[in-house]
Amino acid sequence: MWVFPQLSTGASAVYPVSRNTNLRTVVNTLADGSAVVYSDPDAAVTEWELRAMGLSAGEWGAIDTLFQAVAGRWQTFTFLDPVGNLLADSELLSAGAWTNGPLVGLTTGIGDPLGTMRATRAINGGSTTQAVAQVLTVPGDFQYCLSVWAKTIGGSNVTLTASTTGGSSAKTFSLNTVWQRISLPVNLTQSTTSVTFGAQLDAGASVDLFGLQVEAQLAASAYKKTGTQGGVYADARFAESGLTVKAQSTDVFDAVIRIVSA
Amino acid sequence: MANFPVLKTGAIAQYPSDRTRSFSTRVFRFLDGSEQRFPGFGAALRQWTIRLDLLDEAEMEILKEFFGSAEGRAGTFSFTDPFDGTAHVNCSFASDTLAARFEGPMKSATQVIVKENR
Repeated sequence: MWVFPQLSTGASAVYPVSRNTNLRTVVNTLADGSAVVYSDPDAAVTEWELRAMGLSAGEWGAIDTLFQAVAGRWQTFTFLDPVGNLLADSELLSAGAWTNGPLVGLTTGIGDPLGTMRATRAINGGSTTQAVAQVLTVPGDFQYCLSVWAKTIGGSNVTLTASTTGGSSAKTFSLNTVWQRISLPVNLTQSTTSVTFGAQLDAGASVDLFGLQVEAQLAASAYKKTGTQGGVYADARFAESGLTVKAQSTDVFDAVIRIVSA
Repeated sequence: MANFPVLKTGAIAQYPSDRTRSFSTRVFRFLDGSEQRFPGFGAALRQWTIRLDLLDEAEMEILKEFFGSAEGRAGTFSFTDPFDGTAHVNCSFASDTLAARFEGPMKSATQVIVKENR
């Protein structure tokens, strides 16, 4: 699996980043000003432009290696949206993207820390620990940060977990009745192609969750709600057949990298 | 009917903001200099240019999700005119592209054009 590399700092990209969401609609405008429109969802394309300034030789070399490996625009690679939430359906924990424990009960419509009613109450009805979890097809040796707002009305704890074959990381947080944003920065340093991120509940625990988010970076940023498409793009390509780098100084390289995902 | 999302402040648009009112008039000009004009449709259609700057990532993502759920130009939604507060229930995006720029943390910017449908 080819993956667009992270920087040596653990960040996915440097600012500025541009992201274009392109859809296609067939529009037939009539004489009276009305229109007949047809959506063409299969034609959707997302484009990024990364203005990568001040890269080290190692960072540029990793990008250049990927460019050669996929032969420019020819083959695909996995791209992790540097300004997105990697999880899909971040507020619909019962969706198919989630692989929750079978006895985890979910109640939606709970008040959340943003003043809306988008949080979910998770109750572990089983006799062992179970989790609200999602498996992402992402490399096991990247830097990630799992974050979520959590609280409890029943004196429960929650454990944030990240695991892959050969490695795992977990951190338990004591909760109270006040929302707190908790996070788990992690690099599992394993050469694997999937990582499971989750919020684990003890037997009988009742925890309110909101804003589950995974980012390929060192710390959590503002929460981004997602729908069926999370921030993992498995079919990304370079947008151009050429890739130019400008050496500004010793070990200082600049490049503009354009990536598309259809 | 979905509503165009508001910012965290509750505002719909930031300055500068444009509103356009358009008619569709056909003009036939003859050799003698005279002309005939026909209105394509009676009432004007409105269009708003919404320039958004210094958004945080969450606000930008909400707009992206809304753009996706509206399927670009294909969908319709209700839009509240930021000039006079009037709700226009049959509006659409004017473009199939949403271009977002991320200049730094909480420094995102974009521009969308919303048009009233007949």
